Amino acid sequence: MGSPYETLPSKSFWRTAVAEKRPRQIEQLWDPKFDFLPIHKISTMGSCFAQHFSSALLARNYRWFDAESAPHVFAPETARKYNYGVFSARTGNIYTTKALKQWIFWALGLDSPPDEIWVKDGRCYDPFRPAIEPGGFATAQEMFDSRLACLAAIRRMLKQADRFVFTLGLTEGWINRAGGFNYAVCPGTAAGEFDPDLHVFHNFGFAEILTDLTAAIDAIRAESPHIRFLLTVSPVPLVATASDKHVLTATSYSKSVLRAVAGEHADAREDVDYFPSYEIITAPAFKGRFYEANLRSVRPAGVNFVMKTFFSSLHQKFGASQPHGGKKSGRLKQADRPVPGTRDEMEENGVVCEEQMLEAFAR
Amino acid sequence: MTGAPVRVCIIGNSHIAALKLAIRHGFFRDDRLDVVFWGVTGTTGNGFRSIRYENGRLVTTETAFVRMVSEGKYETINPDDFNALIFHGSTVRYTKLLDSLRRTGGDVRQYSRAFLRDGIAGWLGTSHAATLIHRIRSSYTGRILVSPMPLMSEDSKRFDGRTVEAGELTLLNDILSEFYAAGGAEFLPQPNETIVQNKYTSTDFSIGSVPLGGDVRHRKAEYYHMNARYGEAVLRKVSERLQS
Repeated sequence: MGSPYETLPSKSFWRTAVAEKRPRQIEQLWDPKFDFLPIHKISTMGSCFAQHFSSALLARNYRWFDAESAPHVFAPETARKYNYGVFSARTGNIYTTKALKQWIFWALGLDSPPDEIWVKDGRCYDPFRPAIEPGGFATAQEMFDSRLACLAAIRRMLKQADRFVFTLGLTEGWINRAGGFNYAVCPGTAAGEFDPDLHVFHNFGFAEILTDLTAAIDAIRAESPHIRFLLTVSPVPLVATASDKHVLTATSYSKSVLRAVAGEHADAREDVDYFPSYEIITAPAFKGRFYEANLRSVRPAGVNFVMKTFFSSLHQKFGASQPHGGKKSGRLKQADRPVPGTRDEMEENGVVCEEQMLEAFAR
Repeated sequence: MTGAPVRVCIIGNSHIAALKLAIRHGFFRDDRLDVVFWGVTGTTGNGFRSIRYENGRLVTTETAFVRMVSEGKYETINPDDFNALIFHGSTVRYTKLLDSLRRTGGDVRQYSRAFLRDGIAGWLGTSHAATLIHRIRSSYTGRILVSPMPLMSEDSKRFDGRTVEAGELTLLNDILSEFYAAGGAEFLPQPNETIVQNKYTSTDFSIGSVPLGGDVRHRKAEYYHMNARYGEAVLRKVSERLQS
């Protein structure tokens, strides 16, 4: 009997699949478990990179699900300024699986959010989405009312969505020692006051991250058994690390653990898939071409290539999908256009990446 | 105020018919006010949008219509001939605003005040009425009052299934007052007694409405325009405000 490697396809071998290919010819990176149809309501949450998914879906007339949309009579610029239309609910970036679990559990009434508020210059900030309201909320009550609306939107999202895309961003986080909850950013960064007795740094490990992710997804599935999940890992390196390690090695650890969790979870479940946007951007085969000069932000060409791979993989597996509204499927041509939601547009539109605030502390 | 009546010009679209009828049919009478109506309906040419402010006067291409509405007196309006200008109906589409804010079902107060303020300013700031008011304000020293398009009739059932609290209207009216105050005008909310369930105009004030151009009644299922009783309620509020 010969070696089992004899019958493997060419994609299984580095030489034929990677080394001998020009970067943009590298293919078959993703074998989707399930389709994404234009009629599906697709919700997105996660780290900054997740915003590219929503933008790309909208650009291709897919039904990106905005469960907490701004009033339609208001100008789009106003909505964007106040961070409507960024994620499927107005949560701001969700960097860790612990934070995801918190939001899902609060929304489903499985746990209650703490009543902690951050105050800065007389304005109130939500510790779990400190950048959501430009300049902060006028009062604590206003902040809590807004969060209640967000939780209601999450419930709406979970009930109605067909697909849930979550981008894992960080392993590092800051925990409230007494309450055990995970802040969006370290207190004292966007607002609030850092208290070393109360606020503790924690670098989540594989088991913890997997446990929290599993708990969040199980809670969602209990509410909406029909939802299918897509996990991705953000290719964007850490702005800063509080781990006492070099930020490059800290980034490697963080992304490796997140990648391992995403892969483990996707392999174990029929209704969970993993999409390799992380590999597309970071793999040596692509020679770092998709990063800006700061070696951190992803260039528009990188986002384009990621989304092109996403849609072409679906097309190859399931065939061409009719666009929502019955328009002809010219999708792949649209995929060649620059995708909104790239770094420049994010900055121009004032989309704030809370982690980005840490850069202010670099000397 | 004592002495000569306050000269008031009520400017707008088809919604000023309710106010005009209130006076014509004797529902409203106040010797302290000398009221002139001047407006263009949406079915006439470009409607309210045909009204422009040029060389210190309000003008329109629909001269015959405005002459008819003003009882033959005015083809154009010099604001300085009046102590107060009342823009009615052509300003805030209140039902549209409320519907948009309540589309996802939640209370209006789920939005931050800053967001509502910015959003409403962006929505109204480029409206034809706001532009007119802004231009008039630059040279006119009298008072400018802004009265919104009334909420739809309760028979419309537009907001059925959605409960609206009084506090939501209070918040919206506060923000609208701030917006217009910043432009040198005064917002006059829809009279409370005409509102039911915080979301509709009562049928007592909506059934029997009549178009601006004549006395033929609107069809029964006309939910946008109000009757003379509504006009009386608004005029009473106008008078009270002008006395203050």
